[in-house]
Amino acid sequence: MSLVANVIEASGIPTLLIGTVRDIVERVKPPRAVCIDNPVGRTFGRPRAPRRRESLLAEALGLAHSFKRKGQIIDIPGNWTDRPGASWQDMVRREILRLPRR
Amino acid sequence: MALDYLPILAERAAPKPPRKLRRTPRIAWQPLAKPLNEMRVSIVTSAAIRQTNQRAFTAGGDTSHRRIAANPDVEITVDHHSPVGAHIRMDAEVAFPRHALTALAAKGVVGSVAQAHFSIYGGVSDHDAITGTLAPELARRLASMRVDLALMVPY
Repeated sequence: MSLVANVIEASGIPTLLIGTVRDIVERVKPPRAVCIDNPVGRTFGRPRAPRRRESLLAEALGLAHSFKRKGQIIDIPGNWTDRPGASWQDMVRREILRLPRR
Repeated sequence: MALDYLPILAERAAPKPPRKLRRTPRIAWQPLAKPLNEMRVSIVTSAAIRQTNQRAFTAGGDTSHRRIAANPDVEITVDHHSPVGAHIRMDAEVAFPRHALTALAAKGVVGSVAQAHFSIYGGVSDHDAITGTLAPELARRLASMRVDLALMVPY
């Protein structure tokens, strides 16, 4: 996605990447990136939570003018609420490694 | 602290090496020309989402794209075969916030929503096709809609 963002940006259209995988975004260098501390594939939080999602999107978009240099990443907290006894970090690891759920 | 995904992806790929990440040779930069509440915004998702009446994406190197009408009532389907796909199939807004963006435009937070959003299949390793064909075509289509900000949401 970073390659695509850079081509679009180079064509004259500003881009804002909103992602979750911080360590990968650091490597691939999109022009502007907001990283949300939510699980990958669920950038804007849990399903069927429209108000919280809208608030998070507004927060990320509101940072568009805050970037001081190309390649900058701005981090914001996520809105994911863990189920008791199951962190989302563990959930994501199990999903990616195709391990059974706890 | 943010979760480190690279070690998990390396563990998944083992004993093969993990998928190569392609770092852009040069970071592009186009200054924002308008305040947010005057910007026309379009979403570009890599979740392989399409209008249900469009041709399906295929796994394993699909470098095509789909134009998704901005009308949030248009029925969509998620084709991406990611192992993290359980939630997006319940509610695509978790990674393709078209309703949320429409709501923010109605409240005047953003200027407007463009006529359409775009979708690609993320994780494709044919970088030459992405930079040589796919991304320029997306740029052309975004420019034709006079988009002020492309909201890139990787999946």
